Amino acid sequence: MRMHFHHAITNVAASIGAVIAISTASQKGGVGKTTLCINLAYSLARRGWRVLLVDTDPQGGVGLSLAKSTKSREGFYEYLVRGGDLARLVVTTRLPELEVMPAGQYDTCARSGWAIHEAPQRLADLLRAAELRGLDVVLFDTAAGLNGMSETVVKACDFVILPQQSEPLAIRSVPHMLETLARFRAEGAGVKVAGILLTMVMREHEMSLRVARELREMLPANLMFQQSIPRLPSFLDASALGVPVALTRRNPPPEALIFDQIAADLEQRTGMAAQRERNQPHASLLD
Amino acid sequence: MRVSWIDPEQLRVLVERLEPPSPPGTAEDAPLELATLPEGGGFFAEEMPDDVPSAPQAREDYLPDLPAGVEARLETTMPPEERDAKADEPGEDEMQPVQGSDVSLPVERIRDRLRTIRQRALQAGILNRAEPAAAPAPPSADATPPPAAAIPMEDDFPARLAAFAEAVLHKLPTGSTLMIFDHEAEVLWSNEPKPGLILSSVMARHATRHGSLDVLEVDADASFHPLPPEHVLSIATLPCASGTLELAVKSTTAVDAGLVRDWRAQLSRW
Repeated sequence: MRMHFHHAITNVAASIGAVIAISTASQKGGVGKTTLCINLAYSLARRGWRVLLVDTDPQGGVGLSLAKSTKSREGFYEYLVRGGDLARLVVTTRLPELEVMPAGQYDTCARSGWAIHEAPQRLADLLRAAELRGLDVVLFDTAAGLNGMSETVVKACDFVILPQQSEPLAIRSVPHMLETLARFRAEGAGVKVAGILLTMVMREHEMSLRVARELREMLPANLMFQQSIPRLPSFLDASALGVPVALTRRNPPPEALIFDQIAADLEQRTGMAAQRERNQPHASLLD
Repeated sequence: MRVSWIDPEQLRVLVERLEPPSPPGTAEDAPLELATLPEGGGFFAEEMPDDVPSAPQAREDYLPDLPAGVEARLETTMPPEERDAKADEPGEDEMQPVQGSDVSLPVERIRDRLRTIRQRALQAGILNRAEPAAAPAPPSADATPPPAAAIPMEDDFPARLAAFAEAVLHKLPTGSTLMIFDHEAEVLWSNEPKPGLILSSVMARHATRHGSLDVLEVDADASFHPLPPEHVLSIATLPCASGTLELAVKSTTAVDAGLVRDWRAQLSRW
């Protein structure tokens, strides 16, 4: 019996790991935050992390991208109002490692009344519940703008990914965004910038490439993800099918690999890779 | 001409503002261990210095009357690589929101946990509001702590615990790590500022114990768990009048059963 107990100790200890909260944030809308979140969450899950994708955008883009049925489901905003059992508000997916918490019924919740000042504590509760659920990563998709709920969510996270559409107008808002993040930091938020990620890059369009180059020249390399996300019809196809882009075909299209690379990069930037290395030093091909 | 209309100098200044400021003091001066992330550190993910600046709020804001000695010990309860919530199984009361709390995380989460620990200690009668607990004496090569049996019972619990811990340490091999937990696995005393592995192991033991009838056997004496490559974690359950205490010792050898019996006999009078 003693030996049995010892093994149980070892197994439970190995399973313990802190959940990492990551959000996306962008001043401008339509830069591909939701596409990034869905595909990044899928890639992280495929790489063995237990991921909860939480939609905090009242538009409910994550749910609408994945399934018609999530439109009427309760989710994040119900949790903000009532708290309660996280499991009841989580939607499982075909990938056991990936769960989704849809936005829920924002208007219904807003009508019933909820206090924004309670949101930080509710988010802390959510992260703690996610941790107890054994999750490794909670990925928050946010509404455009770094104010209101998005501000609260970003401040509650450990890391923020900043998708930037590769076009002049979007890029011009970068200083404003960094100014806002500097304010968050001055207000005591511990959130770190995982990196700026160029999105919707039009490789055939010189102006799109030019702004991408300019930004890379001006910002330190550690502040920019090496990868960028191209603007491709396959993302539209994926939305129409309600799946991550990797699932649009039996053999994933090349662009699906970009999210695997971003996931790997993110693991390095957040320390997730080091954590796994400590817990599981290597993987064997044969056993 | 730049199509982005961004002034590189302005951007450089902003990036500097996002980088972590230089820590005001040494690591020893740091008021609170905030390394709740895998790497800890600064604002940018790839630039993570060891010293993490704390939130701008003074700690007195949220721990106004915590005795200095206990406060110092509570600091050591923050594991470096794990978020604080890993360190206990929260009760229903902990899951309730703290009203009026609008300060951002993770500092707020740490504060909540400290409040919870403090409230539990107060409720259990092991933390005296009126009298600040004596800080644990720093280890000294010359000073030999009194034997555990000589600890005056009139001292308050934190002071007795600190004296007891020093006496225990004196009997252990040099370099041993000692942590003392209450029955809910809250850390009451520790000489290790970053006890992540020990904390995880003890939490795992608690988790297993709550879910297994093995508790009937395991609680009968100490249990020993190898910590590769060269350490052993010994966990002894010691009942006392204030509740059950657990001693976790990480050292090069397993704790002697005779020592455990002595500790048990000593604490049974508390």
